[in-house]
Amino acid sequence: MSDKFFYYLSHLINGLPITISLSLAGILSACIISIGLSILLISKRWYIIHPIRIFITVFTGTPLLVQLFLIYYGPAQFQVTRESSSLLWQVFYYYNPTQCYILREFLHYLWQLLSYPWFCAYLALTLNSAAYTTLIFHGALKAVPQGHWQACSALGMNRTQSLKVILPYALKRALSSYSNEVIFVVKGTALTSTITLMDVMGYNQFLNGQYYDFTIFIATGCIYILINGLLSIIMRLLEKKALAFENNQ
Amino acid sequence: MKKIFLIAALTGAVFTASAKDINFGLEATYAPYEFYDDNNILVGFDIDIANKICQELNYTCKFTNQSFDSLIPSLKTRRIDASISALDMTPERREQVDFSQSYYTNMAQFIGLSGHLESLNSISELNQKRVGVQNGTTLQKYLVDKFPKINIVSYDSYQYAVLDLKANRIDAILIDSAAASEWFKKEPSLVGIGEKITDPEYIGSGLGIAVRKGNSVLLDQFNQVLTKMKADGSYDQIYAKWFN
Repeated sequence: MSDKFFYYLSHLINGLPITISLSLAGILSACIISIGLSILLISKRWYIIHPIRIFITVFTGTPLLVQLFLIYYGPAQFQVTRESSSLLWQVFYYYNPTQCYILREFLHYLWQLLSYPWFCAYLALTLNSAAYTTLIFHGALKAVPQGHWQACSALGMNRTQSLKVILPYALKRALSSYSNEVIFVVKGTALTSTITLMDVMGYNQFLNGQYYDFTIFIATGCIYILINGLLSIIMRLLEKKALAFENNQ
Repeated sequence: MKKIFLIAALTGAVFTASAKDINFGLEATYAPYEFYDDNNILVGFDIDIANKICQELNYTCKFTNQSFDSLIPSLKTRRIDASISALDMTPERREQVDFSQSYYTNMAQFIGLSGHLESLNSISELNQKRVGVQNGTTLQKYLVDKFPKINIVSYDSYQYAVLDLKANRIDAILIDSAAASEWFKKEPSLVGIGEKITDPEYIGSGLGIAVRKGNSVLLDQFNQVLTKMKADGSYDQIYAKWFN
């Protein structure tokens, strides 16, 4: 049992580069996007708020698996139709050659990017996580007492200047719920084996197809728990450091 | 009072009847072996064989559709009684389950997209190219062991591999030859490339019905019926229905 366990582990480790690169890239870009979106959400203009609200509803309301499939297999369907019926392109080209050329080149490059399953998985994870993280950050921003804003304006700061003071404060408060989201992204990468990526879960299925051994799942679980354990320790240290000003009191 | 007795008797009858069920596990995206037809009814070569066996043994056949790599685990954990899902009888699988006698000798074939990759003189021409297979199958293990230079792309199901082949994400697919000819009927843009492949260690050891290890009662019954079917011509009828 134990020697087999390490044999499986040595195979499963081959999937680590994809699992880790996807998690890190997804977490970082989702974090940046969601900070931007939660700042935009403070504004009271409907044409800014409504599209963001729709984006959040769509990506928190549908399963990650569905998003992965739509992003990976969806554009491929259009590619086929685009090639087979070029009539649409000819008509478009007749009316507006330059724009047609630009759009065509753009679609060409987009398609090349979408050909990589890694990019599709990254895109799905980022958008999904950005939607959830925006909710977390926006909630934290709303939870900042009104007195903070008033204090800033009393000091003669405008909206942008006050935001520079309040945003870091709000983000620090959001860290504990955000660490949950980070772990969710890592676990979300396990779904990417459905779009041909050989991550840890992909190797798990490959081994399971050969040996049908229960131990394989235990080994896979151990790898994920190791990654997530490490991540939650890092997040806890980060939180301690960021909220040091509160703990000293 | 009579009514209560009647109900009790009837429920008793229902439960004794259900004891004679055989629950077959399979993965139903693999025409012509097992698939859902246009009317969403489960049909195929395996299904007809299983139904014939149940008819001979006076059992009721039940089919459970599940993912391919979970078939043998479900068998071991008693969620299903048998599995008939175009299972190659490989040495690794023989360690986990018992197989009936072979009911079909299969081959494998590469398929490609017409206008792109149409001919193949030797498999090594596919080196550095992307070839799709189903994750957890013998074909995947065959490619991994024998042709490590081929870029193997693993799919949950062949439907997605065909979608990706048509979108030029992969160059070829390795699939069972009978399943390949079904795909040719459905998708005219697909062509078979190269010779059909057999390799006694991986492909062509025959398909068998899997039962839990030690379940010799069911295994003997399956073998008896299969022998009888091959002798009295009912096997040939089913064979002709699906493979000609």
